[in-house]
Amino acid sequence: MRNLLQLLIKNQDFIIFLVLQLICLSLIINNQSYHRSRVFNTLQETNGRLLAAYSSVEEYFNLADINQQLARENASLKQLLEKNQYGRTLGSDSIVTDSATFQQYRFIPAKVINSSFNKRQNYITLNRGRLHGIRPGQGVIGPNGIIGVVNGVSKHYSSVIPLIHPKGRATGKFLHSDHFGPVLWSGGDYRMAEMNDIPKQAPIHIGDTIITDERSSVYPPGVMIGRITAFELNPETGFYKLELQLSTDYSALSFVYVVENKLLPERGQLEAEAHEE
Amino acid sequence: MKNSLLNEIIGIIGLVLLQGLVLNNVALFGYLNPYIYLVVILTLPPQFGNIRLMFVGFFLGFTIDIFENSGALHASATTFLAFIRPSLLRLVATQGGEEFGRLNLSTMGTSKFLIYSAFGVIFHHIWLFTLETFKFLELPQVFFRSLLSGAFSLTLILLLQLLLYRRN
Repeated sequence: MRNLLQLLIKNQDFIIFLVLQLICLSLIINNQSYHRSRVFNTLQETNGRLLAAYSSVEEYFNLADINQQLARENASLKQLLEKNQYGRTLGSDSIVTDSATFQQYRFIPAKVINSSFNKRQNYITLNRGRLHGIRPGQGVIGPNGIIGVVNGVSKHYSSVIPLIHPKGRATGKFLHSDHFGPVLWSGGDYRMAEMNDIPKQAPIHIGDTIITDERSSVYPPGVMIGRITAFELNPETGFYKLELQLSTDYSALSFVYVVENKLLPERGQLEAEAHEE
Repeated sequence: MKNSLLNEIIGIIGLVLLQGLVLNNVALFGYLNPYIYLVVILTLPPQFGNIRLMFVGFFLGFTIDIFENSGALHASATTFLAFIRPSLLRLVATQGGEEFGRLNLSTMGTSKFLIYSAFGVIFHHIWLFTLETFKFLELPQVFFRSLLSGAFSLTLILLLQLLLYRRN
């Protein structure tokens, strides 16, 4: 303390000089609009440059991950090609005509520009909208699995309700058997979901893959939902309740695909008419 | 003694008025402004005390700022000049200037006064114009302007000193 005081007294000229200069500088910046704007602009520019540099460094560190993601996505796209064509799924002995084989699902690429994952009601915003063919009710899938359903569309943007939302729903089935059930989010961990109504006789193993089912009109069949981490039998109902680890990491969303099912109106109309009777 | 203090104060007020009302409106070749008010800081007695000198510099500069409506540009530059005055005096004097008694053209001699005030003026001007431009990219222009304006200011300061002290 004494040393500090001595230091201050020894340099008192310089300290008073500094104090006077600070007073001058604050007076200049407060009273001269030119100087104020210079300071403001410089701060803003520095800030912008820092942010740009930071994001470019961040991109560089993510390159390996993004490469891997792209490779995996390429592989799954190749697999998707055949089975997305209506008509091929029936087998080679069916009559193939032009109007019966066509692309049933169209994938509209989009980028996530806003998203949340740690709230009770999470939302995602995409940078594609009505102009690009997006309509409410279409499914959204990412490179790792399903993401959610479009619920609001504007001219250039669309809003998505992800599975991790109280209203988030999907129909899942086992990769190795045809048992199916509804998948929904229990509201806790954003990496987990639950799947209900699996009958007692279904063979269940920890680590089994759950994929989307044809029963859901929103997602194309065969897109991954998650893996089973736990299951328990409800003795009263006789159905299993499964815990799933979701394959999509909602805390790291970037490029996604909005799925347009071209046969959905036809199917919806048929089902509605049939159920009325 | 009282008489000399009164003279000093009247001299300072006269200089400030001359600077604020006349010389601030002189713009040679469009942008060369002479600043001679800083001669007050240069010629205050050597035993005046550095801290007091800085405060005098601050308020003197601030008066000019009021005339020029320039925030505190001159206050900053004049405080800076007061801060470096001991170092400037060390250039030309051995005992911090005390051997001269007073600091002016006749006591210091022409060459020493010229060196001392030339450095003072140029440092003051560089500080002032740098702060005024507020862009470090334009430092070459600032130096050029400081050099020209400084020469102008120094000429006027010498003329003033000749007028005041030649007779003794």
